Amino acid sequence: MNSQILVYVKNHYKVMIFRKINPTEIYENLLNLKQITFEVTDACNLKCNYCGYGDMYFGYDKRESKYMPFHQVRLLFDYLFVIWEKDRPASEIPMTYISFYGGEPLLNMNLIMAVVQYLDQRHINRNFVFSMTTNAVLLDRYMDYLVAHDFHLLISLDGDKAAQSYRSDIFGRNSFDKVYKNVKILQNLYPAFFMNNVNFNSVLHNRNSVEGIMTFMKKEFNKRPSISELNTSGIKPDKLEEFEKTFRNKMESLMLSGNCEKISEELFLSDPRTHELLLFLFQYSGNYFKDYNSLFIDEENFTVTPTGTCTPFGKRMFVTVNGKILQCEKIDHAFALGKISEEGVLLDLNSVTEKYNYYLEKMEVQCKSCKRKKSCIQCLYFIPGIAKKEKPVCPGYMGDAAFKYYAASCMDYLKNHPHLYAKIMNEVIME
Amino acid sequence: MKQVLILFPDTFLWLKDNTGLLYNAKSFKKDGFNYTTALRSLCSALLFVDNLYTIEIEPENLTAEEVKFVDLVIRKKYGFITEHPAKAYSLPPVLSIQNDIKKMELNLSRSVNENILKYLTTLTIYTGGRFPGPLYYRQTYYPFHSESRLENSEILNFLDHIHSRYIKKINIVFSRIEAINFLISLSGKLKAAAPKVVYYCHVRELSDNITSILTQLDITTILICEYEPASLTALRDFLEYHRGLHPFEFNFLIRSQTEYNYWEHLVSQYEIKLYKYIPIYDNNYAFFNRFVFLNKEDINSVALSKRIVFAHQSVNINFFGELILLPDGLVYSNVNKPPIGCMQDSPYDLIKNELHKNYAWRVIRDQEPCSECVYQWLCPSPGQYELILGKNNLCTLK
Repeated sequence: MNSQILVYVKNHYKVMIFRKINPTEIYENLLNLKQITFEVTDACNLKCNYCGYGDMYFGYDKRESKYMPFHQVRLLFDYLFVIWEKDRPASEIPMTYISFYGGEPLLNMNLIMAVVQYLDQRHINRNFVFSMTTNAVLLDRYMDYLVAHDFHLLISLDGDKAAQSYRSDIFGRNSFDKVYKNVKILQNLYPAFFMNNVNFNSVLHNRNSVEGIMTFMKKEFNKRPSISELNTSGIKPDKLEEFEKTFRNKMESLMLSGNCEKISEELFLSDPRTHELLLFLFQYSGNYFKDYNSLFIDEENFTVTPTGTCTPFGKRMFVTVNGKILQCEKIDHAFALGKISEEGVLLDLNSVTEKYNYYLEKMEVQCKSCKRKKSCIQCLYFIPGIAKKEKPVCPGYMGDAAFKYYAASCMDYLKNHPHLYAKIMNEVIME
Repeated sequence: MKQVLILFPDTFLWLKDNTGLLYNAKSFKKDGFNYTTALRSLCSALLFVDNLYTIEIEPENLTAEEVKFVDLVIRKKYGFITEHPAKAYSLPPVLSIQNDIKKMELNLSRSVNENILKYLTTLTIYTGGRFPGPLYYRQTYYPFHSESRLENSEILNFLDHIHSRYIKKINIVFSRIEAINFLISLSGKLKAAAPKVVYYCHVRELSDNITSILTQLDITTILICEYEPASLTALRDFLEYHRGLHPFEFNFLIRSQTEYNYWEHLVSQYEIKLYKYIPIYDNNYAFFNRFVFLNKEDINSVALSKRIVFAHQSVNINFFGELILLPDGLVYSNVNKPPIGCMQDSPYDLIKNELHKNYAWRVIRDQEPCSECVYQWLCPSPGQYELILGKNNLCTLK
């Protein structure tokens, strides 16, 4: 990287004052809540080898084939309705995704139907969009209902039959034939719905590849799937070897593709390098602004919270089958911020703030000296030992040399893909 | 031998007809140059975004004008030259506003109405009442003459109706201040509605009682001071009484050099610290031309950060975020334009109307003659004076 640009990048955000969050922000997040994800059951009709709730991982409540009861959902909505009716949200009719997650959510369709009906009847001034992550094993049974209620589906499918072989049923049988058949029925019966409302997520592992997944999805469904790596945190120590054997790095897999550049172009922000470049440009170019109001803020003298962690409920709320309230489905259930009990919703915003700020404070010294603090992507909840008494070490920490390497690799990538600059700056609208 | 010319990320390169301008938003240096045919290929290549503000050059093959341009870039530190093409890149100042209205309009999955309540940050309410005189409210905060005035309850109802967590400032511009109780009861509720409340009162309306109440309210009060006998007497009395201890701020209206001299003397005599001079157009074109219009020297002294340049390119920094209620119950984003709604409308509808009609918030210097000028984005956002004078610009350059 040329030294002048590096100096520019370093100087651009040399002033950084550590800022904590406050309960008002969390309240505003609830007021403008974009997504609520319900773990409607912890039961599943598949037993995928790499499942985040399976044998390979810890950090979640014991799976007991529970089904979330409707009154639990209702208590949460009644709690939120009070906030939504008391204050004006930033959008006139905010859009809130109501997402169903599992286990396999189609196993608890009674609840899902009850939720849809309840929200339809309440006439809340919000646009509710229903969505679901499903393995599609029961899709044939419920697709009419899902189409009728305009659900958005994220179907888990790892590619062709060999690629799908980790996604097996309790008897160890590959789920591919059943899933593929169901998805094809949906595609044939409801082509418009399939085109507009259906997406795929494929987990990358040692039996598939980025190229294979992309080719399969394009050929079979004319879709571009999202591709995820196996979760790298919360692995049981005795399962590390198995994890290592199964895990594939998305970048490495992409580089092994015969037509890497073409796939990268198709993936756009799903290519980790392009996504990294986007973060770099948005944080260090000095040319990115979240909205018009941001143009009035002198960021160089503005306090910021240097973390890759979302503020609680800034993106979504996750409710487990046991009634725990978390800020995201990806994090350890031990980090619950509240609970839905028989008495109602226990969510003390002061306490949520204190917890969040406590974790922030634990990292403050490292964050202050970290050179990547402006474009941090490290979630606090994934820092080993963050909740314990010991001093945690941030895996995303960057000193001078590491940051220089990071910045140089972003800029080198841009140099080799210069068209991405205009595309990212002019076309991308973040969530 | 091939070299690469690179412009710094803080450098803007603007080209219009036969004129070019280099501006560095860090050093604030600026240099105009003749944008001749000989420079067209080099400059347009620099501005092609995919080139990342770089262009390969062969010094021995450059024309004399290109040499001069390259020399200017390097000598004044708008960029640099490297002999390592592989490491040659920069980040040209391409503005990216995530919720940019044009960008949102093109995105089918998003709506331009997302999060718009956040844009409304300032409310200005003209109470109205008898205040015969000039229509200076069209240029600055100044009493609005009307036979009826907004009742206290109407103001509070409006605030309740339009209330949002994102309003940071409420301005109340009084015409007559008839009832002291009105001030007291209004103040408490205003302070609860926004973190900052500012009262604008004409100095002629001050009485001992009103002054006493205003000083106790813990609200910023700005006195509008006009150069005319009754106001000057009232102001002198006030300043004498509060000599060395000024509880209020002052807006001194200026229509001539004489008035400016008078205010300047007063500021010095009474050691006034918090004040602004506000030029007022009142058929005094020569005064405006001489003292308000920007000339080359003014523009040369401009020192704007990249953020402010971007702001000039996308929003009106004078008007953005403000809605104004006049005593007739109509709501404006700009009092010199038609209303965008009335006090019964929802804030969302008012904001949507303004975003759609763009009477104020996004009025930028994209009209002729500014759009033909290389200093287009260095000049302040258009203000009320342009509308009052019926000109698109306030400068002597174009």
